[in-house]
Amino acid sequence: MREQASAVLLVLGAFFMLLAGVGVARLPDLFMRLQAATKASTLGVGCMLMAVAIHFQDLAVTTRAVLVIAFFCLTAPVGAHLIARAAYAAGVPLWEGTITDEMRLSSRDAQDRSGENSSSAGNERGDGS
Amino acid sequence: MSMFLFNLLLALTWAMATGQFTVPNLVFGFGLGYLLLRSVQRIVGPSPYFAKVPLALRFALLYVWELILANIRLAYDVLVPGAWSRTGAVRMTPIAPHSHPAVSGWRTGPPSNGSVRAPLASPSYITPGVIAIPLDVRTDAEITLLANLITLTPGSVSLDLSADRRTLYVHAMYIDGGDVEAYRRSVKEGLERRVLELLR
Repeated sequence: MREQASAVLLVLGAFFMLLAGVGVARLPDLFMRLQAATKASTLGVGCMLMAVAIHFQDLAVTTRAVLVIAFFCLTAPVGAHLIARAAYAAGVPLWEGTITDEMRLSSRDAQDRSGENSSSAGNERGDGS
Repeated sequence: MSMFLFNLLLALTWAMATGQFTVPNLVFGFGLGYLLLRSVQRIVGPSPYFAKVPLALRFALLYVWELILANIRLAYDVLVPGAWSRTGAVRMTPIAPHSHPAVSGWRTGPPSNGSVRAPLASPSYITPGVIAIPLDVRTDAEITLLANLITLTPGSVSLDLSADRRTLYVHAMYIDGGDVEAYRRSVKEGLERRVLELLR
């Protein structure tokens, strides 16, 4: 039973890792590739560490596995967020099928407004959004 | 918080008393400690801790479940050939093929002649977008937790927080049917509401 559970988890973990790789190769733009690389690999690592914990059934191993999963869940999203933010700031293009970009819209809004403000003494601040 | 530490102490005490430092025994001790503290609430004073433990547990289970569902969806889109080239269906204006320098070359289907393709019935297609989500969460901890949870969910990455900390920009892969409002609502009523329940 223990053997089977850890075997299933190992295979699942490997599958999600593979998925992350295939996702990076196949998805169309950086932001979506990031999704595959971060999320699928997080789940993959989680599955593998759980398999390890179940296999050894030892407090020292289990606590470390739990710690690694916790730190992975803490750091992976922060890293993904920073990469995405840097990419967006650097002007990495979104996929052509992207249906909306409210961030660009709002920043353009702000630019328009600040442009107006500098030209017409800033009396139209309120009617922006 | 002090109630949580007290509960941990009780779990440790239980493990020492039974002489078994194993994970199931520690978890069992934690559960026992929780019940004990709960039953003597009148003496130790009321604390939001008692209501939050079940909330946190339910939230964790729900979140893991949604994580798995979203991963399966992502897996489908990544692995099934052509599953997501159907996004052409929701494209509003025709775009010439390979007009995008960074993404030319990934398209595997026949080159489209720039016309909008008819919608196909598909279990899942990618409709990405950057969405502004107005925030009700205020403190650093709440915003961080929400942004991290959004980023951990497959299909969405939190991109940036506006300078006034009122708006979170999220890159989402699955805006179903191109309905931006519905997506905004689902984040606000799903993740954000739960984060607020948990931290306030």
